[in-house]
Amino acid sequence: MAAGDAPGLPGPHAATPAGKPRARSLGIPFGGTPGRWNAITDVPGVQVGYRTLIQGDSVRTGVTAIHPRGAAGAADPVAAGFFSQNGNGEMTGVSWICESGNFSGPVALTNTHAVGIAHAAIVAWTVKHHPHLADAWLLPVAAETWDGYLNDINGHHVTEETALAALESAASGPVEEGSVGGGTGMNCYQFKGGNGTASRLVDYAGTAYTAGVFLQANFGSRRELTLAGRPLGALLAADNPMAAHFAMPAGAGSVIAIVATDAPLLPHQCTAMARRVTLGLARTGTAGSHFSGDLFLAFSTANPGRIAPGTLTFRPGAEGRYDQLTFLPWGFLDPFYTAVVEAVEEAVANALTANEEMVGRAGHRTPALPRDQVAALFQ
Amino acid sequence: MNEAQSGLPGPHAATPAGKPRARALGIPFGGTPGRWNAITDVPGVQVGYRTLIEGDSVRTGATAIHPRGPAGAADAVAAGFFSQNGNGEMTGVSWIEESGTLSLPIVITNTHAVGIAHAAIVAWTAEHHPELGDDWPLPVAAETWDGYLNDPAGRGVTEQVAIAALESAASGPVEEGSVGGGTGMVCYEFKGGSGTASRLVDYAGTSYNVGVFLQANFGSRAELTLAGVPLGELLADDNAKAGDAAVPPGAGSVIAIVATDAPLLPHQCTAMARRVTLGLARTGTTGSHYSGDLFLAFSTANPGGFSPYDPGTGSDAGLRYDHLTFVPWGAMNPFFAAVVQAVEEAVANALVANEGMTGRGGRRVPALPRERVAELFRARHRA
Repeated sequence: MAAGDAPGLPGPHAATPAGKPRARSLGIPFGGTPGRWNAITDVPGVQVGYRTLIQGDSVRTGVTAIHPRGAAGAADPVAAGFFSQNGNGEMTGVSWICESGNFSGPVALTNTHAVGIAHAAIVAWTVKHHPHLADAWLLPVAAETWDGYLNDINGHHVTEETALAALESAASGPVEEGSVGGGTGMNCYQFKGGNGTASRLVDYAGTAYTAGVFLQANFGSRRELTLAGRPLGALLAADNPMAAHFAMPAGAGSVIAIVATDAPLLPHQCTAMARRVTLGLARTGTAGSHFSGDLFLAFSTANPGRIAPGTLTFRPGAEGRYDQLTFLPWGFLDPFYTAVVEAVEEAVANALTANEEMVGRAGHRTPALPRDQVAALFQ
Repeated sequence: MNEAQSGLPGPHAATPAGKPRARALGIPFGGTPGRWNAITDVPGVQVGYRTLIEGDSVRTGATAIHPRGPAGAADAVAAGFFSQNGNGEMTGVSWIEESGTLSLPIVITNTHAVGIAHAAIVAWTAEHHPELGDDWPLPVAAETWDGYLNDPAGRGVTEQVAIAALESAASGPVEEGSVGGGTGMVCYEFKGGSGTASRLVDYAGTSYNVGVFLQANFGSRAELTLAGVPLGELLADDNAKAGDAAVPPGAGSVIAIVATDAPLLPHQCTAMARRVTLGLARTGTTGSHYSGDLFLAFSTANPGGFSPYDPGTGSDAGLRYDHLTFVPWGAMNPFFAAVVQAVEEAVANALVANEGMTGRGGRRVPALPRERVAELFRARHRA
């Protein structure tokens, strides 16, 4: 189904910037109200960048960069929380987030073997673009999912330059989905997976806030797949080469979720938002494999300049300062939780929809979600 | 000094390079140390260093610790993690908290090279353990900040440096002070870095080892206490770092690695990791917000006890039960005491095995004044 067959859908809701279909264009129903681009970038200030490596027969990987306050805002911490749904993966920087409830600087997502390289690249990016920050110690967030089925993951193809390119290419606006950036070689429900994003608008006290989600989706086994409440695993069971690849248990692989909002939240409330990712993923059928590193980070871009960073608090003259946070009363968070759940569900569907089949190393192949078949179900 | 040293076994009195250890100053410590009074007293544990001291401003390096030696990297150990203060990085802990285990070697280095160290462990594993195939590595790389003496933006620690540390690991007595990842570190505003100690614990007729390794980069001068004697005021002089407004006192971090051959459950490893705090507290620190104090504890017992995923060739292949033998909880206290004692001594060792160091921009960190400390403890012994 071409994007043009989805009458009434705004352009960015029907197709990605490269013209790939998005889940709504297949007629799949989703609850809630998406933001302008139906992407994490609907949260003002958030920027996303990619560097995609598709070379020869066996390089299928890349890096995704997300700047919570844009590249220029790297010194200003955001309130944040972390949740591990299943710890079989890596997200650096979480000791600091669990300690302080905040972090600053960009986030990089890539493959499991390159997460250390991505960490080093954030350090190098900071030295280059915010040198005064690098005089103190940096605790960047770099996270990963495993693309070793399609990608030559031991080939050291992701270098610091790769990650630096992603960090420096970040921009606002609609976000590409599918096999790009860190998601290039990823698989979801044993279909081609990778990057997916979505957003929801939440009104509170006369302000339209936005909750946006970005996923690097690499999880799930085929028979579990469910979209908009319809179990699809049996219907779409055919053509599953990954299932025959018995070195990998079904459901292995991981999912990294980044949740952003401009609603003013306490760090504990960010953690609560991160826990809601699980409920969104559950709507798509997964039971949370032991072999999946499901690690979630949520942050609020509100309260700019309100959390004094360490570089400020131990300068002379900083004593006597108080910080202040404005935040939503706990009793009003439910619509934001719903927004996370809905956006995560849609982001998974988007990651699946925006794909074609991919062949990678050793001739390994992953088919794409059969769009026409799915669209026919939802007519 | 000879008076205090008499009767001490060689490895308890001095490091392999001949630097003094804390016992040589007459500082009293409780418990019974192992043969080398080092983490390597736990059979199988190997330690390696790569030290970078170059020009005016390179003062850094990497330390590698193999829980089961390089050959045993694929065999998971029971493990636990504790963050006393999370202002630092230790990778691999999501997996440790999920599964209660870790495998692969550990690398400790400086804050900005911890990602490089992670990549080095991945590369080392691919080269030395190809049998792991497609298994995804979630190694432990940890750090403390040496940016006072070392060029913080420097590219000194490369993957090759960390791999050199991994490949040089060995059993036996362990060097201390300004070596490996500890090269540029500062402890209680004296020269700090690598320190180690061990204790023997008898249980049910077996003599178990508890060993500790620290990369010590924490504490403010005023707090320093050794063997219960407050030294901060006595040793307050010669503290140029205190005048440097760019770095708060107490900043910097400490990474502790606790090893034992006692058979433990993962939860018991976590309990051992929590005891590091009590050992550090004996040396005076109150745990600065600016310090990344992250602790890891593992047990080398139960070899092969955690079976890896084995896809086999059919639906029933690879199906098995795992079994863990472990010390009953009620018998854990002597092991906890061992951690506390070994940590206290490892801090003292990191301080004692040092000379003053000058680094970038002419910054200088003095060493603990050994003679003054030794005299202090001689006087107390006579009293």
